Amino acid sequence: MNKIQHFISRLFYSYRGRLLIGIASVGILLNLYDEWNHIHLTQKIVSEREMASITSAGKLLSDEVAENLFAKDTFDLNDILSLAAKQDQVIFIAVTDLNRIIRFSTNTNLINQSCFSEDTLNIFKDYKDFFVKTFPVKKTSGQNIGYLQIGYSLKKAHRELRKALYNDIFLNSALMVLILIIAWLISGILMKPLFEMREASKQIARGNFSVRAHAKSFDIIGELAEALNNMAEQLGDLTNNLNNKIEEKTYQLEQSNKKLLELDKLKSDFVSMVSHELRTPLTSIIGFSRTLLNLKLDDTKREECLKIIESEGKRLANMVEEFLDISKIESGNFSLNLEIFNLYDLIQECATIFQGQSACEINSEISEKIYVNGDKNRLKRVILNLLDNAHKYNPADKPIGISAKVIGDQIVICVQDFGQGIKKEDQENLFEKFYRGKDIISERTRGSGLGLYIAKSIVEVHKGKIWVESEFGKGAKFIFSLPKSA
Amino acid sequence: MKSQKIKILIVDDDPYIRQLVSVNVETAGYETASVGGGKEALDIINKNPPDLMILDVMMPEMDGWEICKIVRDNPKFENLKIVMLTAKDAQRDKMIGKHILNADEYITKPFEIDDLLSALTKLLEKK
Repeated sequence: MNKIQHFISRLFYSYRGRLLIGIASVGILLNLYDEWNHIHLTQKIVSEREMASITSAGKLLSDEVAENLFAKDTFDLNDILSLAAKQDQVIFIAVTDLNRIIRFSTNTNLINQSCFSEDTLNIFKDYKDFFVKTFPVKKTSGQNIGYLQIGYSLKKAHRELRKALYNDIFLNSALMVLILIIAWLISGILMKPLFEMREASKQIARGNFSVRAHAKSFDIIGELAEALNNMAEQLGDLTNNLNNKIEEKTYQLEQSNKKLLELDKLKSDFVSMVSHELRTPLTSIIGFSRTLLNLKLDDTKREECLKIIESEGKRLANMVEEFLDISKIESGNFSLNLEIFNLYDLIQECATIFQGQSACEINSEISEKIYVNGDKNRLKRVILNLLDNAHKYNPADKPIGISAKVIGDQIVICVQDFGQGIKKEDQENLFEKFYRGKDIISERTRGSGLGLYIAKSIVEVHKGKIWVESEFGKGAKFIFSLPKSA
Repeated sequence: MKSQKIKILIVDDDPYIRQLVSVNVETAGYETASVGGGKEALDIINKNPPDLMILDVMMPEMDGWEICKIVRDNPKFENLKIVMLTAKDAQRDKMIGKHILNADEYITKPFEIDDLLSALTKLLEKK
């Protein structure tokens, strides 16, 4: 039951179903009309035919009766009438005189008394399966001498009618079914593109934007298919764009993540490096102090220990300055203590300090009258840092060069070494925080990688620039410029 | 009966630390040798093994972990005492030094000289 209900509701609620119901309804109406028409017509024809046959037979018979009605020999009349009565479809025959007294009849009970009057002549009435017609019996002179009534069976006619009706109904029904089938098939064919579109839509919903429906017809269905295709294309493009953007952004994110992780690692490496670097001189200072207290050492040994304490102390102080500078640079609290000083004097100072620590010679080319408005201490550290770096890489037999000149509105200072030089790809990163060269010398000396970064920060706070000119294998020149003081 | 002086090898890349330790250790009555790197240290260990090694961790080229592992992996040197002397003071580093690499002692810098000397006494008195 449920299945039938389900089927019926599906039929009512679908366009195809409605189409078929519409066609069926129209068909049924047409059929009914057709049947009605047909029956009506057939009935009319049959009636007329039967009537005509009765009338003609009746007329003939009435003439014969007229001849024999008042004859002496009534057996002739009887024979004639009996014969006539035996005819197919005759139910009864009755002959009466003018006074409606029956002279002859078969099946007397069927006689219809009411139609013997002249007024009702030629009216025939249908009584279900038979009808009755009354004929006046007239002499050749025209005198009416009696009535002839014939009861005529319509069974055959009715059967005929029914048969025709059934035939008709059968044919019409068959035709209806055929029409419905054709309608079903045609509507199916018409709906085919819709099925295709449905499948395409499902695919699109699943994320497959490359499906396309056929859009060949020049009607709403074709337009719909085209619209669907357009939509799929747009969605495809959109997702592609989005995907590309996502990829791009993800890549960017990955890159910056990498950088952050690298920086993080550098920072924690830095922290452990700082703690190690600070602890080493402290160990010496504390250790040698304790040694001096514990042990009885001779004078030379004692002096040695004290010198070590002093120099490690200074080393520690320098390191602390460096780390503090970094701190200030990072937090933006980097302010300069400006004073006007003679660059020549400063460079000489640096050279002296430097030569106290190393055996390298310095060649200096500085005119004596260059004045700088800047932070003397910090610029001193820049120069010492550059000299230190030069010393690391410079071969012992060559001197390190340092020069200062005025070029235009800038004071340009250059520190030159004749070591192994710096590769182009490393030159970009030299001044970055924590950057340490990847060569053996850098590894050995274990610097913090901050020297050049700090130097760069100092120079740039002075509104100057710092850079390197070098070819691998041919030494390096570290150059920085400061704006000339007003 | 100490007919032969106990030999102690000092391994540290900082010359001042080497000097500091050797002065104090020698005054305490041990014989010392100092080297600045892993290669030289392993050289000496193989040629003339010491009784104890004072080992710094943070050194360029070969660090103290490596040296410790190489020595401990060699059954020939299972009696060689190792004292780590380093600025690395994190819990993790101490775990690595003492329990994974099986150093005998772990002292952090800056250190008290007396602490170092008493550690030496403790490790070497079992002889």
